[in-house]
Amino acid sequence: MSEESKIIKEFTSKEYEHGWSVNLEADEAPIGINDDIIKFISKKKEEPRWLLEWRLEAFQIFKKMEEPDWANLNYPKIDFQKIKYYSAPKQKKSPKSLNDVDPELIKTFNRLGISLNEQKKLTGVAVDAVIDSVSVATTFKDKLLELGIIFCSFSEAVKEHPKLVKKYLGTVIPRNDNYFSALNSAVFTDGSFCYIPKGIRCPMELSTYFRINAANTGQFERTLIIAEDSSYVSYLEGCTAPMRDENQLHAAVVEIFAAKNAEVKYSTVQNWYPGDENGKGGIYNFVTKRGICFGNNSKISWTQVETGSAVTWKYPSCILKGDNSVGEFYSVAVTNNYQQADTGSKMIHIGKNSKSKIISKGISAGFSQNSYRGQVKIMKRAKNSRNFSQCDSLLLGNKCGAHTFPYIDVENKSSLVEHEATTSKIGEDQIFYCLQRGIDEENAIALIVNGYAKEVLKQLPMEFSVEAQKLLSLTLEGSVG
Amino acid sequence: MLSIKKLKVSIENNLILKGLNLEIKNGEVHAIMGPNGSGKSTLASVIAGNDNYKIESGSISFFGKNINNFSPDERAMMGIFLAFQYPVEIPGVSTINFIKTALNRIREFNKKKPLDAVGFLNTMKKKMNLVKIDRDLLSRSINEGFSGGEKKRNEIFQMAMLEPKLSILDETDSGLDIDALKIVSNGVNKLRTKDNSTIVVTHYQRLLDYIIPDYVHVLIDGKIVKSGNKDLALELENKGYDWL
Amino acid sequence: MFKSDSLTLDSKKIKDFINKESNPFLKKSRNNFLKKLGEKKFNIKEEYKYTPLKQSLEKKFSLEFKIDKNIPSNIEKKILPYIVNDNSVYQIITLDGKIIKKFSNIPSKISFKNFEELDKKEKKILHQYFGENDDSDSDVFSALNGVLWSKGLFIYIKKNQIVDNPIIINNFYTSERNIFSSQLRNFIFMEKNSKLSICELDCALASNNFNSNVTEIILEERSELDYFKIQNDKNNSTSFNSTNIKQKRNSISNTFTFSFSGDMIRNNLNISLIDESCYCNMYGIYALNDDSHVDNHTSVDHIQKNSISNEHYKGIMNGNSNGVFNGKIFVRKEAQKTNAFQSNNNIILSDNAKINTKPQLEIWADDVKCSHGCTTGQLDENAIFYLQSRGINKDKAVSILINAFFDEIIQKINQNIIKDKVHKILSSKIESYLNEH
Repeated sequence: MSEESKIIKEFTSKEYEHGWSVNLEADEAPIGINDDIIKFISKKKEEPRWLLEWRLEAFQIFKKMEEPDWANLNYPKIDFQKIKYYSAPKQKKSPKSLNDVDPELIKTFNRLGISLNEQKKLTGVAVDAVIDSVSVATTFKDKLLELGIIFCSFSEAVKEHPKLVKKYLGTVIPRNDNYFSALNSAVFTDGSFCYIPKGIRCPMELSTYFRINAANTGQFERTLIIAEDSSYVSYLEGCTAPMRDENQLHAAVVEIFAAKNAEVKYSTVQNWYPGDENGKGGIYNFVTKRGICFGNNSKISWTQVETGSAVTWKYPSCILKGDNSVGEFYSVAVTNNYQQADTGSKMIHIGKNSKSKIISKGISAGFSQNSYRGQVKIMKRAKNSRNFSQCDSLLLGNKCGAHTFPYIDVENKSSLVEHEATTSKIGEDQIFYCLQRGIDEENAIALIVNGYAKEVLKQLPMEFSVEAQKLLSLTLEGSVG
Repeated sequence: MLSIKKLKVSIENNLILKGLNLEIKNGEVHAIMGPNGSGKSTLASVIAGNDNYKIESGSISFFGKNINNFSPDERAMMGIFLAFQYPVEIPGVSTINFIKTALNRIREFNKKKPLDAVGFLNTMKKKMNLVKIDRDLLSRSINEGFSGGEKKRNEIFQMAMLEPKLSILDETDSGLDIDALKIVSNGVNKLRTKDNSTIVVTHYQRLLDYIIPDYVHVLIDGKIVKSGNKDLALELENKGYDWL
Repeated sequence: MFKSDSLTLDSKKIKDFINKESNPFLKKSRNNFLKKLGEKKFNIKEEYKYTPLKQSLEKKFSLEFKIDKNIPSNIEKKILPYIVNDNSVYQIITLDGKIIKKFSNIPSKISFKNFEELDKKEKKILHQYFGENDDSDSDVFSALNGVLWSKGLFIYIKKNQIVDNPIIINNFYTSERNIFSSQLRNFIFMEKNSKLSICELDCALASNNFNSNVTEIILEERSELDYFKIQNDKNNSTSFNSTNIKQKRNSISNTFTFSFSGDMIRNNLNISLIDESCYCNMYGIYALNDDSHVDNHTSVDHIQKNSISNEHYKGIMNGNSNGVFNGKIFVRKEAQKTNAFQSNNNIILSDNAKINTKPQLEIWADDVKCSHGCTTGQLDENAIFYLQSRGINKDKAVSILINAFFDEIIQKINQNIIKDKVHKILSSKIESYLNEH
């Protein structure tokens, strides 16, 4: 057993890989939030009047709301006046093509393993790269446009496709949905926009890569995905941030709209800087993600691998409005050191024969606290609906905590809801079995943890899955016993 | 190969092995028999290095090296293999991936190059026949949802893959019907060489009809009370353990 | 003035009430509870998420204190049918908490009395433990009860004492309309190696009854308690209950909570395993119809290592009824080698019935086995069809299946007389379901 604690020690000393920052010359807003800052952002983005008003109203809503305190999270109160709401790497002019993108930026992304060069390796994936507040490059745009698929930065969408933006913005997640969605609605700066027309299967993975670079800056991106009738898209999201002593706020909003027979798969590998081994620094990650299965037979599937952030507050959800619609949530959340995660999903069944599945695997190590919080609600109308939830927690060491808070509300007699949860540690017999076959303890643990999370990892697209497995082993390396 | 001297072992302050001696040379098959609770499985676990058991005194040497303080994986790399009485299930970890990780670690220890995917698959195909194990089974999570017989065959298959110097079969016959028993024994026999040794831990004589031992030892209350050749096993079958 | 949602109490009346308390210890205790009320640390929003207090209290709640009187003859008439002559049980009758000795058969060798009758030793125990073991820090009604309780039972089982027969307490509530005098506070103290089976049956004789019942139980080393609570109140009564058990080393508790009707029933069951190697079983059945609302909030707190907890609640909702289940399991850092299991199964029979369930695990120790499972569904149509195809009519088939659903729990009851009682109530309940179908 002392072996165990030794390994836990080793593990917790593992360093964050993406903790460097670069000196990018930036165009910034002054610190703090007020109407003028919002006007400043809107002006920088050359937005239409309606959007500015929409933002200002959101700010009014935000001011009237209170920061939620129901999550199992413990962090000092955020001073919203000490955050910078806009920071954009200075570029000569907005780039017309990748050739115009600042080579320093391209280098930054190359260092993260994200190639913005279309000729290079990531041929199966189109990338929208967002640094701090703005999107700096989107690849394969033209090729996608041939199919009628719009994939661009949110700012660009506001300019080029204002009707679509106006029609869908805030419909899945209204401004007053919660404290952080209100804040995001007021100050969001960029993000990705994606529109798949009727009957089109998007031929490649679409992906957004988020990077916080500037100090004292919050990132408030906004993503909107619209899948028209019988379309399909798989979307990936990745994120990292430099190591900084102070906490940085990330409050994103992702809205997904799925029309009749449409299918959207949204995968996240969240690797924001988690703070150091003493819990200093790290990203506060307050994210609202929700999709609506609006049409009959539509499907939205969330997959997330959460390894980063000091504090995570995130509940990707599905509103299953269409009959026979399907919602899925697959999650692996790993916390180590002093990280805290309160994450899970909501499945709101409105349509008949709607089905949902929640598979959540929590892994806590170090001094971390890891909570699953979820809701399954079967409304009266949702006859013959089904839900299956499985929430497992794995504890590594006895200084961390694992918590499960599922809410199950059923309002009709023809539906079936099943929920299971277990908490355990890695079996000593499992480790001994591996050791007896010549596998050392660290590898044994990595093997067992990856096996434990496999049901979720296999949902990820190939390249992401390999990445996620590595990340999982890395985050936990040495920390398990 | 293996030399155990005056071994005393306890678990939670209960002395289980009370001064046990055992010598095994290259190429030999030794059967350890004894009634329930005599310490047979403890012996198997202790040789493999399970740290739930505490060695109070005495020594276990493997090729002349005292391995009392060696970790289970070090012993495995040196060539000790334990076929578990109750093979452990590890959800989500495919058997193939598991064996590949183990095999390459052992190869690395023996200063051999790791096997690539093709090399591994070829070796695997050959060994699969030995124990008539299904390819599909190997793609599934280790032992998860396997029947009793499948688990035991999987153990022998892993033994075939890892080519240990000393194999310990802990009650491998328990829970097997006669056909499965034949398949498993056949596998074990085919893997016998003049260099490899085997310890067969069993409660019943039945298994020894198929895996013929060179020596039979009777373990009662933590000590070997009688040793002999295979006839001793038959005698035990007829008379039970009480006459000893 | 104290306010919680719509519950409003007059602070002067409360002070007057406390001042009437003649026992200085209890007076102090009441004031302590009053302080807790004043601090308002209760998380009403979360803890009463599915049991909106407004609705259940608004129309009925007022503060009025009742003084004990002799039993009016009309009440006595109502009680008589309940009294059984069975030598294999100790039967106790209470009226708004007061033991009615002429109808009661109190076991002679144990302390079983109202608080005002305590002797010196009993007082000593009371002073040491009373008021410290309930959930008044988190539940507003338990705190309120601590201030305003009017009667209660003091039960003290001495070392090595084994109470041979089960004690069945019939609690009758006479008060109409929200009278706080139906606030009872019981205290059970079991010394080492003692054994007791106790069953409380609540029965409101008047309509619109409001009662609140808080019980504190302390189990010393190796003691063993079976505790049954059977609620079959009139449909329009409101009841807030809180049972709190503290267990010491190697003690065993088996609790059973049966709720069959009631306008608004809230049952808190809190078990604290404060020592090593404790064992607790928590079983519950709720079978509801009409507008019944039953909310079971349970928590088991594993504080030290090697304890086992096992919880199983099952419910059927019919009519417009609403079932709520919230089961919390806590496993503290020191509580290694804990085994904690929880399961909650629900069947909804009608389109207007609802179930809200929240099984909750909070774990801070790594070497543990904890799990919870929860299902909500309907009676198996295939099973009904199968039975029908064997010549059983549909009603009978449904009744067989509902009985089978609950049987798992009923079989755990180790006292035949109680098993029979529960069976009887359940059968009539099932019959009423069938009539509605």
